[in-house]
Amino acid sequence: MQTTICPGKGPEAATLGLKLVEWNFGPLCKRVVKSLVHHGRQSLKELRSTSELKKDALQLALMVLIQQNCVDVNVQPLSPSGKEEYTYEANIPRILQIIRIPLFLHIIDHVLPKEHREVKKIVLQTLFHHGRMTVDQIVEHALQSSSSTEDVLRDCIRDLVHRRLIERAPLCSLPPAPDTVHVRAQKRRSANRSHDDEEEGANLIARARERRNQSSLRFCWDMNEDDASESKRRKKKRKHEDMENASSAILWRVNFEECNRRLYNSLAIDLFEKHVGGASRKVVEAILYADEQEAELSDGGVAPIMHDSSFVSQQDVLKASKEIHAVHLKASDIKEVLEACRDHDAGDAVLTAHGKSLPPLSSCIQTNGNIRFRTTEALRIARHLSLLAIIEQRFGSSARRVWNMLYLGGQMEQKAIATESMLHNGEAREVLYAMLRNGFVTLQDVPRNADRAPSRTFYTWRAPLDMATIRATIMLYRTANNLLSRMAHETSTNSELLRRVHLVNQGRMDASQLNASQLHKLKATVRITESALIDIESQIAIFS
Amino acid sequence: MVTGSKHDEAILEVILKHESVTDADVARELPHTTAEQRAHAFNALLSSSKIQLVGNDFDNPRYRGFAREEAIKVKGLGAEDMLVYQVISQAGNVGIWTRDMKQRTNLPQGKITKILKLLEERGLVKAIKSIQNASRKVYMLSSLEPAKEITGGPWYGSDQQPDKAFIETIRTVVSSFVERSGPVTLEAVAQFIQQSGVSSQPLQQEDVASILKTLCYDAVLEKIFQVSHEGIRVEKYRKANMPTLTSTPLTSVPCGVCPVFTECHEGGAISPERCQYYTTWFGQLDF
Repeated sequence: MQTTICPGKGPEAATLGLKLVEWNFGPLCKRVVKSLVHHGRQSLKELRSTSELKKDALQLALMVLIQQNCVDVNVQPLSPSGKEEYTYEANIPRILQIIRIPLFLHIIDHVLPKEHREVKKIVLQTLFHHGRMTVDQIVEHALQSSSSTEDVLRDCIRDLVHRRLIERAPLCSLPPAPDTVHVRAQKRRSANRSHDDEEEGANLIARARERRNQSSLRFCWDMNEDDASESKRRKKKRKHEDMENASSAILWRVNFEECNRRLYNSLAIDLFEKHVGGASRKVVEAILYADEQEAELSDGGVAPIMHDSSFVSQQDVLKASKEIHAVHLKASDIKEVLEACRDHDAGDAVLTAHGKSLPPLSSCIQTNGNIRFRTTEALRIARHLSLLAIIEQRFGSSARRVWNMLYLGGQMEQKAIATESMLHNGEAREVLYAMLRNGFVTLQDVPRNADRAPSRTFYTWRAPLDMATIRATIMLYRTANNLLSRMAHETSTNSELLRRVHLVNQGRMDASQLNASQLHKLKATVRITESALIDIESQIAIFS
Repeated sequence: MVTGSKHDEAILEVILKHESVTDADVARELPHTTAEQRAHAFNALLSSSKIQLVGNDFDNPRYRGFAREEAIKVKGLGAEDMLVYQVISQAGNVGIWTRDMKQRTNLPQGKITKILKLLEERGLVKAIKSIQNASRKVYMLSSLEPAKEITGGPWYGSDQQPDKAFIETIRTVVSSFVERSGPVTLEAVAQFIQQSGVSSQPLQQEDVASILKTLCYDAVLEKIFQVSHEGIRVEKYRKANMPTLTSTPLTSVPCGVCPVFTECHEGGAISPERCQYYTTWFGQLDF
């Protein structure tokens, strides 16, 4: 039984990733990614064999996937043939970020300072669309949609790098990340192999050092122009070089980690605003921005990646608000929000005697003269509330009561559950078994004898939060899969209509020849499905 | 020779005056009687079914007189019948199971069943289904109210199941009172229910506590601790501050509430492509 799930891992996530690849890049790319998902990291030769594609087609698909950061390329230091060879690995967590792109653009619109905001958005949209590009390529594409100058664009790109929204694409010559092997799956080494162990250990250390060196350059802007000139000199000397050295350019891509961090902040702010109201949204946005600025000053121009902000003064919050808000905050607004939090916090809210309790939402904002916002706390509460809502909508209000009681109260027998929750025995049994079938509760048998006879066995029920979270995440991925399947089915059913629309757009057919009602229905269907997908994705972000 | 008849009547009169008496109580009221005389009287009265033994303390037995109606009902009962009757009366309002009766009386099961039938026909005992074990019947005296452990308390109807309508009514009353009044203690809520007259039967504090617990589990109310002026921690209940979500993105989509979600897969008999719930959903949400 699965007990942990990493974001983007699991069969449901992989299926969704494959659908996204097919939807965005075509069936050829899907076939390559499918082969990588099923067989793991492979060399080009192995991939040809497993994907059953011709060399040209495979290389073309790989180039698209690498360009779009869907496949990671590494150099395997010790291959069986003794040579170094390139290996390819599908990056499903990154592929799944494709659905979140509209969310990222919407959020970034709110967090960037007002100066050159539109230009920075164009830069990010360009990178989202093209995957990885050099600075010159970004500038060239952005100039087509923006009236700004080249210098302004380069400054905007530098600012985005400093904000960690853009990062350097990793080199293809790096060794792959070490495989995470479960402790119980690790092979036991015999005493005779000590020399091999030392060599392997040294290799692992060297590989780790190489990856660490590269990761330290992720957000390094200053070396950009120096590297370009340096590699131009190298180009004259070398005959066989890899793609990045030959092009003598550094490739940049969107940093999804930072985008996700902003997304988490936004979700936390939404929940906080819904609970506290007033100017709470602006206050929290200003706190987070002020924290970013402070970290930037102390770290010498690099904004750190973290979830909870550190304490910032009220003056810094007011100053930050002036930079990001059209109508900026006053000191009385901050005071009002803090007062609202204190009112909600009167007394200690305790929901159980077993040590588990859900703190009030107002505990997300802490003061000790300065102010701080705890995003992780807000997300934890959001996750719990979402879970309860899912259980209530899916299984009924009785199920929600029973689950909450089990979560807060620990293990109980069915009769005790019915008595404590004041439900009929039959009703309690039905909701418990419905939740058990869907994986939200567990059943444990405590036998009194060794024969484990049912008449002499206690059956106790439990509601572990982590298991319920995993089940909810799996349901979300499956629902996203279903939405995409339905959308694909609707578009394939209306393929003739779409062909006609394409002809109309090209001017080769008159618009009156289209079936207007059918077209309207198809547009509505696609719109509904896409917006539902984005909502589902925002909920996946809460759970993962 | 000791004749007990005049002592019998005097002792019977003393016993009838009280709920139940011991030998010491009778000796105090009739100091001129000896222990032997009292013992003879007790035996005679027991044999003639004018009094009965109550309680489980056989070293210091207590005697109780039969009420007039009861005396008529027990008239003519044999020794074994009286034995079973006494075992049932000793169980009080908790009742006793037939298997326990068998152990205590050493009578065979068939005999006990026959005696119980006789006693039920005479209206002396009644059978109650236990809430803890619906298949088990317990027997107790007809005049007694069954204990809460047997009936389940005021929340259970005659069918041994929770009375949903009554529970919902009390929940609504309690939640609106707490929301109106702010942080209140359990005692205050119990007092309010008693004064409001919403319940025809008296509700104890533990009964009200059960209702408050279910409201906490439903996130309608929450329990808090407040420190009074004297520095004592007091438990109170107030309206829950935590926001509740009425719907989520998952449950807004048909898949989130689909009863056959686990059987649905692409290309199958139940599939997203042919899903009727999706068709209806698109129709309802037509932009």
